[in-house]
Amino acid sequence: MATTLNLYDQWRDTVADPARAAAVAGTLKCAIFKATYTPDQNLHDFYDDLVAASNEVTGTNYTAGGNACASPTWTGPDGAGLLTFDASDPATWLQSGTGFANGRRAIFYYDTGVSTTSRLVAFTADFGADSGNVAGDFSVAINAAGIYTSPR
Amino acid sequence: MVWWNPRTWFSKTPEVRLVAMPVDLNPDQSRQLGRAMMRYERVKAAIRKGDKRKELVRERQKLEYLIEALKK
Repeated sequence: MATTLNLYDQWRDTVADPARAAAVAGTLKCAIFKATYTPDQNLHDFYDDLVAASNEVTGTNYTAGGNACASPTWTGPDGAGLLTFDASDPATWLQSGTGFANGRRAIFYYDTGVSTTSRLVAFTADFGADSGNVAGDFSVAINAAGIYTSPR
Repeated sequence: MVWWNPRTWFSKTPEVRLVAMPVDLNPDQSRQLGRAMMRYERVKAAIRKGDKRKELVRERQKLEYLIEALKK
């Protein structure tokens, strides 16, 4: 099922300034959140805004903070001038009867280990139904075209 | 004498647009393969461009195995 991904405005603000972009630290990760988290696309900038203690899913085979998306890369420009930001898919959350069943959104962010300095990148639309790894493995795959692109 | 002060202006403000792409939940095998092949091309391009991270070389290898497995 394809689900819309939205960039946080504050992330675009970060990327727009070369000094701020260069200062981004941490590991790109994908975390799963419950319906209780309401994204503020305009104002949310760091992981602490998500209030993970109450809004992130919990369960067997899910580690708080989510799974890493290894090797983030900017590639291009291709012949048409397209630049692409991409990374490896987060590892699949393996099935467990005591896993989580109430995931409603995926959040991409740079984890520094400190929630107040971990920059938010993007959030998906609501999955439309509670999802998880109770009935089967749960995976989030980045689009074949990348996480986001910058066209000419 | 009248001095003409030349000015230059942009007829249009250039824009830098970032376009987020939809993610796939629990993709089927053909979508996994499509994704793996595109990612493989990008990892190769990054290495060719001079990105020397060892993790990228490892990822390229992992993707080769994954693509082979998904093609079967």
